Amino acid sequence: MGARYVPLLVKSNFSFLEGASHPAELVERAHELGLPAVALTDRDGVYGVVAAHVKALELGIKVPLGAEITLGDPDRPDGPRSRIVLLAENRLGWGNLCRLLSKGRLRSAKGSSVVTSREVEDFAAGLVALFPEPAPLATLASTFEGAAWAYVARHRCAEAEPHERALRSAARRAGVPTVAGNEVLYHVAARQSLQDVLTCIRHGVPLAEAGRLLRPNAEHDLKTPHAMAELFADDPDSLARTVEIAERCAFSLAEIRYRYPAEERPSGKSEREWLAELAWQGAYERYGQHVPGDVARQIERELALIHELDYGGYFLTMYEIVQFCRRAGILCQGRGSAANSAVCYCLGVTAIDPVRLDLLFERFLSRERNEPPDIDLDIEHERREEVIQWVYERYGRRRAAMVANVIRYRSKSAVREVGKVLGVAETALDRLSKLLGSRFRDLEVDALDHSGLDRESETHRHLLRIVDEIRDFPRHLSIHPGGFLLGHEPVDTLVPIEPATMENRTVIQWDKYAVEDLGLFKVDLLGLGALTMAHHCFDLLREHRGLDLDLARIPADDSATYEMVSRSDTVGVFQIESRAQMSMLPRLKPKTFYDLVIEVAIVRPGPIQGDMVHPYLRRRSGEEKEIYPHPALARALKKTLGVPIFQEQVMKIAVLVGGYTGGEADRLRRDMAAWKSSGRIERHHEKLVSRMVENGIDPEFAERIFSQIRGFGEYGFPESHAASFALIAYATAWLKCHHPAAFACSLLNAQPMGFYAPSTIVEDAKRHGVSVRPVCVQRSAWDCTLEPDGPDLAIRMGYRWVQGYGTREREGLERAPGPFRDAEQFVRMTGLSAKALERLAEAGGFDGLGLSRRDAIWRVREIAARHGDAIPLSGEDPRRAPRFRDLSRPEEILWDYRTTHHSVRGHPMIGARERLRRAKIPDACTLNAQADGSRARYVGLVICRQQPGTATGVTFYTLEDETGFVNLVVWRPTFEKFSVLARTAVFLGVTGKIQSENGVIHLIADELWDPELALAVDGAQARSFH
Amino acid sequence: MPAFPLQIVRRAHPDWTGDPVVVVEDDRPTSRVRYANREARALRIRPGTRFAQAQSLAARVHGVVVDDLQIAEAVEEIFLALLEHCPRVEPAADCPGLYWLDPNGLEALFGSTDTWADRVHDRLLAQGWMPAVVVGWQRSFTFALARSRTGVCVTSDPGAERRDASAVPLTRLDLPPSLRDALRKLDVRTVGELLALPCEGLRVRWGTEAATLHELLSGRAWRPFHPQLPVEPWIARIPVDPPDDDPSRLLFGMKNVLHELAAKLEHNSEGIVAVGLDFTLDHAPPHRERIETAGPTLDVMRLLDLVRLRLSGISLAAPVEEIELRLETRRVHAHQLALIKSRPRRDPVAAAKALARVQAAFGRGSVVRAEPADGHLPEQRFRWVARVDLPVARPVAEDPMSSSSDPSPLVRSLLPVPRPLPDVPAHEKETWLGRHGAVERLLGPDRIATGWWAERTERDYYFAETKTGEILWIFFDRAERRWYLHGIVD
Repeated sequence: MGARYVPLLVKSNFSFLEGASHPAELVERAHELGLPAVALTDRDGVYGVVAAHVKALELGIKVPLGAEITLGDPDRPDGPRSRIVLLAENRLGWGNLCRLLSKGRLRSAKGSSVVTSREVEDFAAGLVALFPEPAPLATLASTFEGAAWAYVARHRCAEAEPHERALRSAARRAGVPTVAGNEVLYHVAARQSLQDVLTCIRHGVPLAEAGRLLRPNAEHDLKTPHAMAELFADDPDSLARTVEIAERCAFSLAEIRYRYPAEERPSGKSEREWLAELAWQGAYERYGQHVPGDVARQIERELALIHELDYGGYFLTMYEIVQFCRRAGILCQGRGSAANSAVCYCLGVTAIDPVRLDLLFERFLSRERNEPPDIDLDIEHERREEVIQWVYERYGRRRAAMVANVIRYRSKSAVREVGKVLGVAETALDRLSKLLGSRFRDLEVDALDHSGLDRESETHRHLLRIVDEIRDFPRHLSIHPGGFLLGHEPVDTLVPIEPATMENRTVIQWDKYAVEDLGLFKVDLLGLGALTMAHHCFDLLREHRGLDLDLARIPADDSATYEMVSRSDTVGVFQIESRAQMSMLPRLKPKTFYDLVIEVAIVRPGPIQGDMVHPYLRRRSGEEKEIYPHPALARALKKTLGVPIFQEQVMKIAVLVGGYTGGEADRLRRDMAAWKSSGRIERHHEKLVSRMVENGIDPEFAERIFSQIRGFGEYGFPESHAASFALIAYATAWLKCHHPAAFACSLLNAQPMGFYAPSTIVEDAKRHGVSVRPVCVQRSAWDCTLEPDGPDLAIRMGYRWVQGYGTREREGLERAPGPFRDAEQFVRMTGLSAKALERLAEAGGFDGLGLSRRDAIWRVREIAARHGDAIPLSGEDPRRAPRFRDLSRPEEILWDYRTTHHSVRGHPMIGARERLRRAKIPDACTLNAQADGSRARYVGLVICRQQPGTATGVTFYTLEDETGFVNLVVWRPTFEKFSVLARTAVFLGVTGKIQSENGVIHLIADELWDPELALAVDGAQARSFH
Repeated sequence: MPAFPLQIVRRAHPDWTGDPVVVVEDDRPTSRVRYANREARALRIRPGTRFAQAQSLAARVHGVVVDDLQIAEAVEEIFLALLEHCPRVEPAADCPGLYWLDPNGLEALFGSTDTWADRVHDRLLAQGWMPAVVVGWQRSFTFALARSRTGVCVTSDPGAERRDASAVPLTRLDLPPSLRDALRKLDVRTVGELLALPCEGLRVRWGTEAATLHELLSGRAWRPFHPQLPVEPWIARIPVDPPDDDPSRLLFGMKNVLHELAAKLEHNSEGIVAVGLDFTLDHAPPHRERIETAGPTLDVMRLLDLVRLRLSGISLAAPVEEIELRLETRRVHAHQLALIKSRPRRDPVAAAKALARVQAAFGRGSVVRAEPADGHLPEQRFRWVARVDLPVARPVAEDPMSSSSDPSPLVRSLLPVPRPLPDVPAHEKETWLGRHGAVERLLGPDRIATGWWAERTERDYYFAETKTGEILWIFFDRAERRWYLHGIVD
């Protein structure tokens, strides 16, 4: 063993596109080398400290924490820059470091930071400083008196010698001792090539042209003590000082004590009292003056635990946010495990009664787990920003910041960027990256073969290796969809805050996993389109029908609604509108709310991969006996007939018959959540399966359980979460069933959301007897509106559906609501561009002014050109204008699709119906009535093409015509045989066999063909899902 | 020449017959397909499709970029072929692949216009092209017809031509996409339908481009026929009688001829870019020389200087009987002509000329210049550039960080190629570097380990101070495990 030393200038891959090792790799390697500690000092950030901290705790090694700080004049973006390294001695120092970084980040462009020497002086307390460059020594050495060292780094590089001389000279002048080391960028020298590639990506140059942007050698690794002793044989004292400094920097993230914001409370009331008062007040509103005993007991139990764990502030914060939403008329609803809590239900945060649904509070909060509760709040998506900005305003920018989302390299992005740096042709990379994620999960040799790249080529071998290394590397920081960190004290003393790309947003330097690892509270404010749609619908019903509804007042247990759902008539219904859900509904035939909860949860990768779907359906229909794999599981699986469907049931199995402790089960849950970090779930396989078998569980069932866990890793629903979603599913289904016009109108106005294109929503509305009217300059508004249609309501399509229309057009149209005398007046008052006018003319918008579409194009073009002139000339005489041919009916539909992606005049298939009838090809309605096993031919419009990962080798299509949908199944051999058609056809001809089971009808394709319909619809697009 | 770029690709890659082939704008996945052959179109790849999308439809589709040079070469090749059948040929300047030919008077030679058209067609077909040859009465209609068919078409009378041309779909005319789409929306699909619209109405709505098209097709906007003449080398033969091999006399013989030719070239707006000399020798095989100038020139004295230098560097096998002087020229603009005739008093151009003389005397590659380059290896820090222009020197300012007490950098003379050194002997180590003497002090190493993506290099560099007072710059190649001498400190 050589001299003891501690690497103090160490950058992980969180020094984006510079460091070439994960923080955990650096800590592991330091441990292997027998180093007593290893610092982490990323460039202008502390993004990776939590990962290093977690690994260090596991290995029992110390990690001094700090950052490399960029110094300079912020007002001179191109001015000179220098750097110092600051390490936290204690909690005060850590807070100062975070505040200093926040200051630098918040004023700089995204991805950069710069602070002044003066600011460093202001935040110097509790920090030690290392000076790798001579320039800042003169100004800052005195600030860090007794806590400053000149950092002499050696990398066996010819140019470094004059630098070291200058640094030592400056240190002597400033009276500062030296400390030795190197600038660590990777844990092992073999990562040099990856570091070179990252450098090239950062500078946007290929390797062959990078020159001296690259480091000259591989000396930036974590070295052995012996190697460092040899490197600094002439200055062992400097090396020895590293250990002293590391010992001095004693701060650990374990010291972070976090307190949730203390809410404003009525005077004289403690937090506990105030929360209890609000909870009981809510309980009386929910249940009346006589709160059921079991509910009351549950509330008391929860309040006691909340107080014991000191989480009251968190609940009050959620209450405050929900109250704001109520005041502002914004629909919101809590989901996730919070729905297990009676207190949340009484506070109005969630809408599910956990006691009635027998949901387990422990899933939400437990003394043993001792981790912060997780409450996700769904907010109507168009108004989420209002809530976010209110939170900023309410708590202040220093006490509220959003949680980051670290964007990491995936195989596709890695192939593109690494390949470009290596000089591989872009077209080849494009082909290769397209194969990844579809045919190949990761980059492997076979993928090279399939994309025509020579597997023997040295460059391609480098590509394989480096793509493998770079996968999961952080690329840059983004923003979590809605996670907030709120603090009693300023958040910037915990973690630096920086600006997000989105205006008026700030974000912390940690992602949700880091926040969870440190046990911090976060609030998730998520946007949900279905709530926006529901809100629109309630408004329309109030305006046109005088109905005053909201989510809580929708009549429960409506049999007509369940019947509609059981028929798969669910286009636009939240959560149960997908092709897979629609296939399941006639089998499951939901009759109660809890059936809907199961329906929402069962069509997920977890139950599907665990092969739990069919057993459940068989037991439900009485075809199979309700048996339990182990007597201990009877209670956990009772509600789902002995078949595990929800995430917590699987975890319960792990505890009850897998011998998992509470902690292990919790680790399993976290590993499921972090499914993208490959391999984390697999670590549980051997342990869990073998223990289950030991406990008498059938090995086959044990394996299925584990498959289900894998599936939950991709996307799993806990029961409470499914229940929250089922509530919205029921509400939207009820609206569709009883108010189809208002439902479709609000669904169109809430787009983009859901599965279906506007054309499908319009067609579906028409099939439900709703009259849909086209865009008209005399009647349309920006959004779709409702018009009287006899005793019913008709939908008038809004301008929002004219392709290419955006904010500018909206402003012009809303400035001049009409009606208009003629086209001239419309153009003058709205000020729309020639392009926008032409698009409206194509969409038939001027029909109301007596202009056919082609005549309107000719006319508005001339008017627009004249209005653009500085000196408007008198216009052409419309009476002398050439007359253009009117559109035929199929042409009208085609133009509708091209300009608005839908047509109210008819389905694109109508034009071909007569010809198809002569060819004895049935419509969807007729086909769906055919007997099981019969042969059939069919032609339809492809509206959905789906290749779910859970159904290897199958592509599901939904085809549509004017009478309904046809579910098409294409197995891989057929898909490959007709691949061009299968992937591109807008109209598809199919020959195959009908499969009809429990009311679910599929057409199994043997052959695909081009129906050669003359009316190819440009605007009709299939949505492809994977 | 319908789909001209695609035809160029087809000729260049006969092995791709039967494969889907597309011509793309450039080598990027997002680039759009400009032309697609029949096989590609059968796979639903259309012009306008992005290349990445085309690849997803047909993994093995060949995507090719046809650059301007390839097009220019093909245009020239076809032009020369057409000249064999018609002395008056005009390649359309803004539409590569379109040629106007004047068949007037050729009926007598070919028997009939039909036969002539067949011959033109067959000639191009024999070269591997797929042409459309149309003989007509009005340029606009001829153009429209040529765009709508392949093979040969001779129209019988102007009325029939007008009728046929009116029916030509506008899609065949390669209209700008925006105009094509606009007209399609109005259901204006043929030349005749377009001509029925008011020209001014089109201009107001879709700009001058649309009006220009209207005017072209109506025949109002065609400019007069402007046949192009081929640029041929200027050749002069100078007999030498009696045969002579004295360079001065040979030069004198060329001088007057060069002056005469230069005057003609000036008149034609051409400058000399190369001089070819074919010497017919007395009872010996002929001898050929070619001298390139630094740029287009009409400076006869300078040319004679270059020729003199070249003649002084060669020895002819026998006296010269005849000199064929061949001047290769390039068209130049009038202002360029003024420049190439003027003689600045002293400027970098003069230096370039001097270097051109050296190059003429010693051949290409004899004049090179070191240019700084970016790399870690010493030999990658500069490169030799075969250029005769001299950039203005820009000395680098001194590093403000360096102080007078800093030691001076060790300036080294670099060997052209590192010289291998023997292995360090196990005994009598002082003999290792031979005449350089025993190593007193070894400073280093500085390590260079890079280039892994092409050829990995790992060198440890040392300064070796020897007993003789020399400082050698040596390195140990870690891959080869041997020592090299790379430079000597001056």
